[in-house]
Amino acid sequence: MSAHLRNLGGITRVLYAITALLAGVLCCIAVGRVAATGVDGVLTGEPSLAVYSYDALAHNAVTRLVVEASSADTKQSTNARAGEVYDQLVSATGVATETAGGIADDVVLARGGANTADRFAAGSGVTTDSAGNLHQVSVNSGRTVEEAAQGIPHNQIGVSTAGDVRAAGGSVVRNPLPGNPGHCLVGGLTAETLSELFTPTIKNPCR
Amino acid sequence: MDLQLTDETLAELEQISESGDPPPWTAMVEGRDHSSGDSFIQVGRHDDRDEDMYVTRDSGPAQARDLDLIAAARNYLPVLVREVKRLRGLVHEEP
Repeated sequence: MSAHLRNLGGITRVLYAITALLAGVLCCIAVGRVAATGVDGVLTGEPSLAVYSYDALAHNAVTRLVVEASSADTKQSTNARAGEVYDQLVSATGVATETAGGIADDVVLARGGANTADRFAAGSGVTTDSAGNLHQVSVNSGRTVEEAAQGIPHNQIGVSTAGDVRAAGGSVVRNPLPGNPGHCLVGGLTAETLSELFTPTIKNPCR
Repeated sequence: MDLQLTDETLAELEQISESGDPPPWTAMVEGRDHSSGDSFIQVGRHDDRDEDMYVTRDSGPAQARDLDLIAAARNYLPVLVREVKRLRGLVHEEP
């Protein structure tokens, strides 16, 4: 009888161990899915899971972002930090253009106005990191200058390309807006570098 | 600042208003009125534009409230001058 009980106790322990193991695996899967969804939403507002699979550096950056996002005081500060980390991630890993938001190097970028450094820094929603690089700079994109200039009300526009922005160390991310599907956000460059890329300005061909 | 709107001042304001580029002037603020470009004042109608106006203060580009004030002052100055002159005319007509 006592041997039978000892056997039963052993079986119970094995069952406990298996149950705990399964629970652990399920928790890891759940946490991973929640983290991926959260980061993806914060970063771009649309799925781009390919970004996560690049290398250990990308993985570490995303992991850090998840931790920071979960402890951030406000959604705004989280989004600002997410933009910075995302720009660093894209630049550091050299993510191919088609996985960095589907923007090829020859895509034209346009921004209305004088495009001076102080006006880049004062742009709506623009944040500046500790290194002095701007993030969330609003630009339009298109296959041609005319296409990129659509909807820009200014008489003059600054023009560059996604490839030139990346070559200078910056990043370009799609950020479609209602009525403006070509809208993008540029980041990772100083106001002075952005101004050099987008000047001299030209006459807006759509005006 | 204790300003008095004398007839001379009114005439001066009318002259200033008429010598500037005519309305409408529209404050175009990035993130509010458009995206992908600097904030500025659009001078003239959409189909009859003059040069855009960029306003800068010591610390950098002027804020939206400054642009709104400038555009409103340009658009309403002639309206206000006309209204004051009309009301003063009514007062003078009263017995």
